Amino acid sequence: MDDEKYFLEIIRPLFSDWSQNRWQIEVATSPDQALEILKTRPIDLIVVDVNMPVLDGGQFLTLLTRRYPALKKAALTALATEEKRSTCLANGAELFIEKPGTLEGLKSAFAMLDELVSWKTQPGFQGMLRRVGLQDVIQMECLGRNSSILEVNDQTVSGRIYIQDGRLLHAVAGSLTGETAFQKLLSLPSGAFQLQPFAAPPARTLDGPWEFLLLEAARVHDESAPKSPEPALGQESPPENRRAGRLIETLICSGQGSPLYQWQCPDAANRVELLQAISHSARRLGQLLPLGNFNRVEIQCQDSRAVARTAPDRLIFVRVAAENSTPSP
Amino acid sequence: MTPALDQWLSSCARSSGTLGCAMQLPGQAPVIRIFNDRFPPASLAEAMACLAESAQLIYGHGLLPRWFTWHFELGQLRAVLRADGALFLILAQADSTAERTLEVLTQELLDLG
Repeated sequence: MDDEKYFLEIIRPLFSDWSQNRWQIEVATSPDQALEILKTRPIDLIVVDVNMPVLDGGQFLTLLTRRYPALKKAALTALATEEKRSTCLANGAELFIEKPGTLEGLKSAFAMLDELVSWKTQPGFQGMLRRVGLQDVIQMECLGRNSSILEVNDQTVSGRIYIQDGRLLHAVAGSLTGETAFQKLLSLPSGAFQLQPFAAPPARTLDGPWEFLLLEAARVHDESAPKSPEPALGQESPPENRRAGRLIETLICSGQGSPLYQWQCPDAANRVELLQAISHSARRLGQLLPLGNFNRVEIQCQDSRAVARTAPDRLIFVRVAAENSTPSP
Repeated sequence: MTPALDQWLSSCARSSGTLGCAMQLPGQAPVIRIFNDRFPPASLAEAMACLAESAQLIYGHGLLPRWFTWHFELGQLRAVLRADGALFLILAQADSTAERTLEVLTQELLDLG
């Protein structure tokens, strides 16, 4: 779909020829024409020009995503910017292509579209869930020990989080990588995500248990958010990320054991004592066995799983519920 | 030690990257198997003692562990606690087959009865 009729007249025979007549191409010069075609026959892929009068391509993509969630969508523009790219991907486009000005460029665009149209649908459900946080999706992937790439887009940034066997390996958001990128993506108030099949990341920039990375992202987000009125003494308002309810308790302390942040920790002093003892045991084990630096201890209980991490400047304790359990205090 | 437990200890060696394993039944001396010279039996015996203390410590702080894993840069120490009071240890090299089969070995051990 493009309001420049001459462009459609050029590419239609070319694409048909390059596909060796595998493609049946319909053209439309406006969204209403495109919708009319979609109503009357099955379409595998729609290529939308972003710069359209009245209803621009970005808005049209949103409409298409809602009305035809299974339809593959590509966005095309003569003036590609990072903002346009993010908007189109956030609105449901699988591909964002700069309008080619040469025959070679057109061939390359055709190859990408041909690849997109030949993607097979992965087994599983597809749909929309409202009020789902990225934390929930990441928790789900990590608890299931899945391998996937989580693609995240909003109007301002697009990024990827690589998960392998339930471990967070790499994050990229615009020009950011690693924990900063991860925190940036988790701080987005809204946007779209897609789980793609796993492929090896270009680098490994994330390390440590996913619970800590999520927690640290939540902490950074909380600290950077505008302050709301203080809760009453002795009460703490749970941050948004705990909505899913899987987290049972959290404690972050300084290296000396002074609590810096806690949530539903039944007895902070008890946990600090445990963390300090774990730190002591880790040092002893490290002296006995040539295993390098200590990272963390994971404690699997009947009803929950706890992770304790001790570093010279920080002691962290997180406990999450096991599946189908009611944790004891 | 029962033949089943002896067989389990031997099965630990099957996975490449198993550096050593050990078990201590209540009231008995620890049985230690080493598969890498960098980890002498005496060190593993001391590590077992340290893990037994850690288990008590964790119990003392209100958690009831079935197993716990110490993650180090170059490997993992998995301590498994059975209801009969037996303590088992598997030492696996980082990013090895042994590390990836820790869950299986743990479950096998717990199912042994």
